[in-house]
Amino acid sequence: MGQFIFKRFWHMCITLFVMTTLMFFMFRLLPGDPTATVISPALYPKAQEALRQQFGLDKPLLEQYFVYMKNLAFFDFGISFHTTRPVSEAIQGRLLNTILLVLPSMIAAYIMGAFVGAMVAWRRGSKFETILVLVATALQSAPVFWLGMLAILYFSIQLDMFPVGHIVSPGMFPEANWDMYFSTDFLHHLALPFIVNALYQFCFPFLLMRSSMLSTIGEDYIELARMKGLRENRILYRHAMRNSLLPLATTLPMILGWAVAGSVVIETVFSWPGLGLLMVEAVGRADYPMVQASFLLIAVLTVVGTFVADMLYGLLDPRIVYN
Amino acid sequence: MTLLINFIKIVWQSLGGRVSLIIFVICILLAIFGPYLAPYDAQERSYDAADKLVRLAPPSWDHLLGTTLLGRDVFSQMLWGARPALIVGILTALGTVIIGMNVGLVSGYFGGKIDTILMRITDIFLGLPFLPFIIVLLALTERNIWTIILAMMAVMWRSTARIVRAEVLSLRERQFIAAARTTGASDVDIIYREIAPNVMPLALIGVTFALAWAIITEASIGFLGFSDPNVVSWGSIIYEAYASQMMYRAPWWVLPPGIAIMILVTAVYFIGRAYEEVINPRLKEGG
Amino acid sequence: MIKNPIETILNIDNLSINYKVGDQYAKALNEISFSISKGERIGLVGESGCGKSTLLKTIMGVLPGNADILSGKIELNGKNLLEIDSEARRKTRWADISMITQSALNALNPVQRISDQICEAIKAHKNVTYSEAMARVEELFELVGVAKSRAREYPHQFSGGMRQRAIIAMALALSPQLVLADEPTTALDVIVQDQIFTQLKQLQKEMGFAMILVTHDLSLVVENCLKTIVMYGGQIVEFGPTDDMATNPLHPYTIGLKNAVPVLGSTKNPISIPGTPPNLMLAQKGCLFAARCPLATEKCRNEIPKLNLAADLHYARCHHLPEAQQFAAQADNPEIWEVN
Repeated sequence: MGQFIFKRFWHMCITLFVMTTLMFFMFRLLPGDPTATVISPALYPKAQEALRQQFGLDKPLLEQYFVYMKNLAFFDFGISFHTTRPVSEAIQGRLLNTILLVLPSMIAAYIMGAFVGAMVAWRRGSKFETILVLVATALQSAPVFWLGMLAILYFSIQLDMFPVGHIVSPGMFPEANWDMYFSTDFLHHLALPFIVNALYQFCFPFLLMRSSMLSTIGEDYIELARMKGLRENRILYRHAMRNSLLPLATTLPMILGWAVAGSVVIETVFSWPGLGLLMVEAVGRADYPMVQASFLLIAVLTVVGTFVADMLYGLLDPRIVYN
Repeated sequence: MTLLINFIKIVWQSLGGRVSLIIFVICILLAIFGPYLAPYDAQERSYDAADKLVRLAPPSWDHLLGTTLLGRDVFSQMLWGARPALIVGILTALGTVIIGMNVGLVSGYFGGKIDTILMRITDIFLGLPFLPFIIVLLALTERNIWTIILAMMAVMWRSTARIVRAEVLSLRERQFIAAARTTGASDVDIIYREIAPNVMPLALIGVTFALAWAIITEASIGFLGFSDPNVVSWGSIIYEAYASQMMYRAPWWVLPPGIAIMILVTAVYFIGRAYEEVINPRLKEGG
Repeated sequence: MIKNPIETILNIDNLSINYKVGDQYAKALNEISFSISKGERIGLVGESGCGKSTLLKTIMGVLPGNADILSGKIELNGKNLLEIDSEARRKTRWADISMITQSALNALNPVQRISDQICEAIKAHKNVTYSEAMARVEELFELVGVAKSRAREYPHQFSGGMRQRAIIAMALALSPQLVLADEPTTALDVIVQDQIFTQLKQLQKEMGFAMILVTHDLSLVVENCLKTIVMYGGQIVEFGPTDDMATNPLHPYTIGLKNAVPVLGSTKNPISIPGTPPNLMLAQKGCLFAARCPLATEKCRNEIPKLNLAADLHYARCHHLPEAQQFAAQADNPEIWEVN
């Protein structure tokens, strides 16, 4: 087990290292003035010069790279072109906001999806099953931002049940602090994006669990469990569902990646101040240091999420850890 | 070609597959002939008798799906918008699978160091957040339909590579490969003549999933406002509606593109599933 | 048929089962009758698709949803299992009749410890604590010859032979009266196969359970069972004492099967019967084996043969019983099997 964790952890570190390196060279080597992606052309020449020295832009590329990596290690992402303040200031809190949007809905969706998928497969051949499969496939096929817009259109505008967007009501928390996350106002704002996200995320685990169950049910060990005279519930939960969960766990890292990546559009629709929205806005303003920093944090979130999901799989399937 | 015919034959066997194929063909026809059928140009502004712009008009005989804030005909935009969705979708899907299949074939066939290196690269790509990475690429380059396709292909090959490699690993040990090797066939021959045909069914399933993903991603890029500003796509219609802040007053503007994407992608998913159920019979119910 | 009312454990009478396939029916079991007494070993032989598995599933009560029991009785100690309610039926499984399954790898749940898989069988029937059940598991492991320290491992950590022993331990967990052994050693090499059979017979002597050994390998039955049932196309085609059947097989199908077994030291090649098992979707008209049978005549194709008493306690379902001996003498000639 220890070796398994270590190996995965090591892979995660390599992946992160390669990604940060890739980012550095992508921003430096693409056509145009290489410094244009680091120093805002709108700054005074003197300020530009100061920055050029801080980031070592007058030095060779390789040396610049070491400066960049060193700065990253101290969470120094440079100066925003837009606000001319350090990027790290703007980033603060954004990571947590994204996690709060993605993770709870994802967990809810997975639990619901696995459960409903299992139930539907266990009593297969019902009309309900056919309809649910069709609806889930259609929902999965719809663009999630569009679903979000429809939800706002109906629940926020038509019924006035939820706020139209943002994380809290304007002016409620002039200084972002921890109290914000424990307020009912926050939950009220979280509700609609949570529901839309959860509903959208539900489809994949549901469809996968259903087909996984259908093939597990045909396995010899299910028949043996029945021959052993086990009660139906035990066969369902301990044998059929338990084993059908494995493909769900295998795909969890991938789905987590999609969810984090998909948060970009969800955050945009709901004006949710997370990393995705920050990045989209920064791209629109050509604020390259901000783009780079928000992308790197999204990538870190994805890679760490993948690592955690891998660990979870190791817990579920003894064959992985021992091999 | 026989592969494609075979594919269609298999999909046609099930009711869901048949309906989905028909929908898909209709979408392709719309992509080809849509602009000729459209009553207005995509960017054309309509004026009424008093020479006033027809803003946010609800559906009528003149404008089957109403008009936008700038007086553009939504129905015509829908017809124009099918083309980018399908061009981006199909080219991306094909490119993705071609890259992914080759990586998977080489990696699985040669094994050893080549395999380790290729799979580490694949793992790193699997760790890349998909949409954000494409957005970064688009932020640094010119935004047009081709950069979008290339950006998507640059990331999406990863899953196909993994699946194909796993299949090649099991095929490699089979008798017919050993037989080909003893007759002195070259590696290239074995990979492309003996192994590749056997992973084609998997690759075809990969094409359908990549197609579905590419269409949704193209729409997402359009919605975020990062697509080619001169091309009307279903995603960009939603973006304009959203950016205008008027969509809440004009559901006819925002509903059609979303529904169109949903129907097209659902059809693609069902085509993939109908094929998969025959290729992998364990998925079939009651089996 | 032979039945000793005092000692009989399981009595199957006139059992017929249909499978629904699409909108058609396949006659999977056709008027099966036999019984097994305490401590007895019966061999059940036939090609795959002859109804062996369906018969076992029916006895265990795990038929799939598309199966339909048309007629018959399965009596366990005089109580018809087909008439009791599902909870009572659940309780008889494993406690009274257990099974040694064919492929131990697929039959064991890959993500559950082997000890837990046995424990849950015990706990489903007996009100015992986990540690009591565990003690029983260790006892069973010693009984089947696997170190008890390995009980808490996962199936993938066991070798094929060990897995099969674990399955046997599981089958004996509740000291059943009857054990169904479905090709228990097919996946194993001959040496391990032999060890396991020796051990099974030893265990049977100690514990006194009856056993039905299901196999396609006639030689295993000859070595291990006193009585043999031969099935073909969902029917019993021959039934009798193994000794008698080995020296004097009566049904052409049995003769064919006997020919298919390689004989040590013999220069003759084993001959398998050409053709495939009958299509059970079609209505039966005449003998099911007629299409592959060198002795088949017009009568065979039109009239369903009955299970006739041919010798002492020895029955066969054939119109040509008098010719059997003569046919058996020339059955090692492959040409004779080329019917069409």
